[in-house]
Amino acid sequence: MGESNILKYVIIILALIISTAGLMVFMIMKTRRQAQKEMAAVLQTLDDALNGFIHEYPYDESMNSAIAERLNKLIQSSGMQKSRALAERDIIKSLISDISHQVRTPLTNILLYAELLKESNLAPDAAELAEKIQMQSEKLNFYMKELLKSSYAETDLIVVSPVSSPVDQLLAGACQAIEVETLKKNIVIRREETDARCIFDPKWTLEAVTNILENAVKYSPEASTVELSVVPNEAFTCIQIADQGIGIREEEQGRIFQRFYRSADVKTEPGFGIGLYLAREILSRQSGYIKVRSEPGQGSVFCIFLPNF
Amino acid sequence: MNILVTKNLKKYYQMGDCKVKALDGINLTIQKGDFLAVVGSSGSGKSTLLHMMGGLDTPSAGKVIVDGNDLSQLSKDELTIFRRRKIGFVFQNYNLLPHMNVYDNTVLPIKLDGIKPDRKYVDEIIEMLGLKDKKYAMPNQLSGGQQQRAALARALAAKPAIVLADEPTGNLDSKTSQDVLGLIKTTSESFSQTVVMITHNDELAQMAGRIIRIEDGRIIGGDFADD
Repeated sequence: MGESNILKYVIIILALIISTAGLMVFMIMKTRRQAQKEMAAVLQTLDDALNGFIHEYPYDESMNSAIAERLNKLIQSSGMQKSRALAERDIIKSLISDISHQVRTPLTNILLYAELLKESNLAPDAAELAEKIQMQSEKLNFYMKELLKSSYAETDLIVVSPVSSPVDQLLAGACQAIEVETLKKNIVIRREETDARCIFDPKWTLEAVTNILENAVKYSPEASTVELSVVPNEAFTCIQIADQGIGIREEEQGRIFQRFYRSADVKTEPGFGIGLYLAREILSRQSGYIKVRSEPGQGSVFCIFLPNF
Repeated sequence: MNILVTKNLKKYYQMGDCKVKALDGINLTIQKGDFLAVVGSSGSGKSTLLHMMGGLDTPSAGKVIVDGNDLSQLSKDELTIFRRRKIGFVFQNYNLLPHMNVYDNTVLPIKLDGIKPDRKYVDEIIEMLGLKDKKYAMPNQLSGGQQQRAALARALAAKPAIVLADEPTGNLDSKTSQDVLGLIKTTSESFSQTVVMITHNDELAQMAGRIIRIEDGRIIGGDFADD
């Protein structure tokens, strides 16, 4: 009788131990699973934060909620810094625009009156002074334009809106912009009509192409030809500007795109070394790029690549 | 910021009695956002160097440090995960999975990591590479150039520390090569993506911002585009 009772008790105790153990294992696994679920939620929150999403988080005591709250604060503070920087940029932008507009009008007037003065009947020493005034005013005008250009070259001021645009109009605009210079040097610009289109910001790209065309004319000898051609490809459309100028030495072919770089070979021409730097900045902001092929004495070919998509 | 540093990197092979020095002491530092071309003739060691950088092979001596991680300290499993997360590859023969469409190929490395792909970002890359209309096309429906662009999309989508391109235009004609290289250049700039490209062609290398010349396992020269 004692034995069967002891056996009963042993079995009951064993059963209790096993079920307790089973319960404990079950609880441990449940807790682990919960922890894993929380970690996965935290990971998702982190991934979203990396992509800049501000997360809606539940106001509870969970770890995920605490982390989400910190992450949101982080995103917000970096967002605030960004908008502060943008606001500063906008102030500078409008300041430069205001200054250039203010200066432009009196300058244009000075140029006009200087021209009129020169054409009126003057005594020889008065005529000489008038000539000097006109030359200096033109110099001032040139410097103002370069100043404006170099202020754009402070990269954050260049904001492009690329759209599908016709290349022909772009080239026509550039040719028109430098028409006066080509007439002065008797340079012929050869350009084929094209119905090619690609993605670019018409206003800024016109500035870029004009800079390059200006250089081509500046560094070409009198009565030479500058040839514009368009070579479309699948991903990019290439605009080639070929001149018959002095050419560029190989070691300088990378440097000419640097800000303020001017080759020793062009010391006689005025300029600040901004044009090519600006052109490259404008192009790279539109996912385009520029290359040059040149040999000293054989002229240069500048290739502007604009994206087709 | 230094994204990749090699310190006195060496790779020697023993071929019978002969010791072949594939890499003989390479010291290289690459900054984030650089587009670097490694130029060398066949057998110069450029492919070996690329494999070292990507953790596809282990050096005989020296170190490779990618994004602060010393690759020699990682186990084989850790290295696999590291490669998947930190390195993007573009191979000469595209290596797209033939039974998956362009979009699925592009997000595969991301998904393997258990991350939900940022659809907007992936769409942006696909559009930038001109594959918007081909998003659900299969590789055998694409031209060589399009396949390479899809491979490039895949490499870029995971935002790796560095993209390694092994003769990316080797199987393409010159016009398509020009296009693909142009896209590598412009996307690396747009996304501030560091790219290292190996090529035997000096002209193609000129597209990069920086060139390193390698010969007999050693760096024999190099220049910056803006030097």
